[in-house]
Amino acid sequence: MNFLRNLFSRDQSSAQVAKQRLQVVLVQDHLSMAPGTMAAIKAEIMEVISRHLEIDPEGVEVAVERRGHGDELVANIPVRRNVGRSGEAIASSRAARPARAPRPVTAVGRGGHQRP
Amino acid sequence: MGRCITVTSGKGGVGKTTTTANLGMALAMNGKNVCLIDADIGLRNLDIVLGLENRIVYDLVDVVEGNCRLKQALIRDKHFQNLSLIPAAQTRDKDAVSPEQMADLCRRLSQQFDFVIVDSPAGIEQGFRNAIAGADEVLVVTTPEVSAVRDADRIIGLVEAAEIPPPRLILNRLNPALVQKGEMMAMEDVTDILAIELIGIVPEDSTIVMASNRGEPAALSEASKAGKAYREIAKRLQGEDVPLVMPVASESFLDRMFRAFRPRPRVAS
Ligand SMILES: Nc1ncnc2c1ncn2[C@@H]1O[C@H](COP(=O)(O)OP(=O)(O)OP(=O)(O)O)[C@@H](O)[C@H]1O
Ligand SMILES: [Mg+2]
Repeated sequence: MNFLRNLFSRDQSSAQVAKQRLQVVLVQDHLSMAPGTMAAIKAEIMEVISRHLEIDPEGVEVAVERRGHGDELVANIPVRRNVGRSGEAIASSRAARPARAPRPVTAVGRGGHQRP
Repeated sequence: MGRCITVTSGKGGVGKTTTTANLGMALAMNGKNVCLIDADIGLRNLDIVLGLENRIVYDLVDVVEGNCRLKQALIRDKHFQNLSLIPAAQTRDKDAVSPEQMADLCRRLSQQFDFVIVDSPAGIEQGFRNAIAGADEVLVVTTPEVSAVRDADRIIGLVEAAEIPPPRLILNRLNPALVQKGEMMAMEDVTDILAIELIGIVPEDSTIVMASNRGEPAALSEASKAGKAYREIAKRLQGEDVPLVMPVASESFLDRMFRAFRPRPRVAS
């Protein structure tokens, strides 16, 4: 059963979930950042970008990730192809990995990695 | 001049005392002069894990308060003459000892021992600050669980802030079968997150419980997997180049076949 579940499930393993959750929470610990700050940053980034490009709001991901020796703010923002501004749906099916499917605009800002 | 090594963790119950006892034993087996200090005042444990609970006369607080000479508080191990213990006081609290007193004691001990290993209490308060006060090096113990890893990260930050060289990591209670199923973080996951050097992996092993039942650390047993892991860590502490291998679960043929069909795990971005 376990085997079938693994074969057919697109869910991540609990170990991967653990790792990702830790990456997020440790960044918050290091930056002494309130949990709501990330949501505010995300909303403001979306506001700025949508002044210039049509974005897919559902697919936007903003996170601070640890890369090497620094913490990086990574924004993954799917934009719609500007085909006559018809509001045409974005290229691929969004079933599997919504944020990664369309070509993303990735903004990376680097900050010193500091533990508290 | 010997080295003073503090074993700490942040989160409680992840294996500091087990690690201190086993590394002390393994280093003593290698002929080193070793002194263990139980700095967990009020929750004395190292003595019982080592099977020395009936020999205690004086303790750590007696030493720093000058109620006895240092030599009188050193309890000799049953197996190895070159392994000694200074037990914690059981009826006092953490602030019976100051960081300065601990640092001074560690300095005195490292004049006569090759290794002084301090078993730290859990937490980030006074007891922890005492335990690292005399440390030349720190070993951080964690299990592959989210709460333990998060607390280890916090401790690493505090050790770095104390201007002690970057600590090294011991990953304890790793269950290879769970790791292979993707239901426990693997060695790389934990080292990615904590970004410090890994000095050893100790598998989840029932011989640890049996060993503490008897008061004979697993490092003494040839057959114990955890004991072997601790003997290897001791060698690495002595500067030997012992390759670090990820423990593997013994797999049945069916397990192996099923694994071949499983999708490869996605790599976290
Ligand atoms: N590798 C292992 N396999 C199985 N059991 C283990 C292992 N390591 C530790 N344990 C068990 O986990 C329990 C806690 O271990 P230990 O007392 O060494 O932790 P600790 O970090 O010193 O705890 P505290 O924070 O209370 O001082 C003990 O019962 C011990 O036998
Ligand atoms: Mg303990």
